[in-house]
Amino acid sequence: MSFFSDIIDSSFLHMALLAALLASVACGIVGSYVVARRRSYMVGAISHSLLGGIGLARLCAVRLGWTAFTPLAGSLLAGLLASVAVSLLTSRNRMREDTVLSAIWSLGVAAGISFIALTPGYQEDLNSYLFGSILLVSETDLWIMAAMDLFILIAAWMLHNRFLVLCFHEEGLTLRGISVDGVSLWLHVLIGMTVVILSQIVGVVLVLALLVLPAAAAALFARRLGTVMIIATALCFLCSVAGLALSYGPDLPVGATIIELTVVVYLLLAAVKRIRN
Amino acid sequence: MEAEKVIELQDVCFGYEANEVLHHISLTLHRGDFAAMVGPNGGGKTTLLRLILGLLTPRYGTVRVLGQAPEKVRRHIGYVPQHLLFDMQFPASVLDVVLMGRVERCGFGRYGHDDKAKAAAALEKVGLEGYGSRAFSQLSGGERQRVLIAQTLASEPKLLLLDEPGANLDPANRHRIFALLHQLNQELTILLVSHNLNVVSSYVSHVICVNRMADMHAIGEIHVNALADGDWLSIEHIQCPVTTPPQECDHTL
Repeated sequence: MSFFSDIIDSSFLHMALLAALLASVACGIVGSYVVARRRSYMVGAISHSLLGGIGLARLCAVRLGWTAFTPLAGSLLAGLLASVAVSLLTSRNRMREDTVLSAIWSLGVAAGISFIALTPGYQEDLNSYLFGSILLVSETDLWIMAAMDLFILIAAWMLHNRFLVLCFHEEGLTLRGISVDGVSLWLHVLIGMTVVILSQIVGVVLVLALLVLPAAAAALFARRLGTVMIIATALCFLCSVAGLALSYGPDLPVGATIIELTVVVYLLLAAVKRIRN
Repeated sequence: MEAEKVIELQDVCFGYEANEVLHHISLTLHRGDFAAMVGPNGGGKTTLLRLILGLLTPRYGTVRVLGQAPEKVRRHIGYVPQHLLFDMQFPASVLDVVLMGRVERCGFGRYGHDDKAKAAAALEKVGLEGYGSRAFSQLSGGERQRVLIAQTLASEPKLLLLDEPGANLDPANRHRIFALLHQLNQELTILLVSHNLNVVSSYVSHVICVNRMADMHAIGEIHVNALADGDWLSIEHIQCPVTTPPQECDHTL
């Protein structure tokens, strides 16, 4: 079983590659904002909160027969809820951001565990939610991911100038008469959606590195945020495909391999940057 | 006819929780003034700037800018915070940073030709024409400061506020910044915070001593002792409010 011989006619692999491509676009764009605004911790909190949504979806599907409420729909619901909650609770310094994020982070995992415990039957697929299952992505999932990508692309194109000021000097928005809370809410929603897309590839536990590291590596070399986005998209796609290829033959866990590669690539590029300087 | 009042503070008190920072401040700046606020650390200079920007609300008294509440005329105020507050590694070109001054004008999508032309003109004004495509992170401290001034100029302000514009710059660069401000003062009213009265005294028209209370003086009224460290207390013939007023502002709203 070889990645390169199967890639010609395995529809699983075609779908996995397409999923990696769709995820990389979101990762490159939104990851660049996350790195520029230094909000990696928020990604961790939102990604772990997805587990609550996934657990709820499983519970509803098994107990109530709501089959349309798929784990992807559940994670999208949880991701959006968590992003909006972070925005509302931390706006105008109502509550400390790190406190809110810690609560959402743990609450999401706790809710997930509780829902799964309440769901009858053997939970064989829990691992795939935690650590990813790029080879199990369905055609419906791909369409949903594509729709979210399109939404992210349009929103980022419309709001890029505002996001740039938000990341560079938040108060600059207030001084120009634009609501920081409104612009932050939009960015958080895009982060939530991106986390949902990436969790299809590497699972909720490993999203953080895949979203942040490609953009962080790109920012070492690029002068403008737009360039960071393009390089980060390419790096994310490269690491995802290489991780898939490396893990395919020996049957290693794909998500973990992708993350290990991403970290290695980041460290290598950081070393190159240091040597060049 | 008296020149238009650009900034008018009447009996303003402000404090953070129990700690009163500004005590019954009354000040008026007219169009074309170039004033420097001097005073000790923690004396309330930056707080006063933030009240004028409407980022803080006074406990008592009123702040008017261009005859209106500050938050209504923010678009006409250019504010340059201390440049050390910015992320030096931020991936943006010089033109990106200057265009941020027009973020509310461009609506959604990309900046238009007019925005880019105004940004280029602002860069030219600060002597950085041709720097547009350079990385902001690779500029020197003095150049960054001038880019941030260009950012506010791109917003076509009527009033320019600057917090410690010469801080952490070598003397040559510092004088270059102040000479630039002196030139911009022909079209703009300028108020800045400074630590060093010696540096600003040859450029400004007024000096405001701030230490919980504030006194404003035309530059002709004062003589500056050229102490090496530019101590703000070395002003002769005038009384600067160096003593702490005995009682707290007892008006609450």
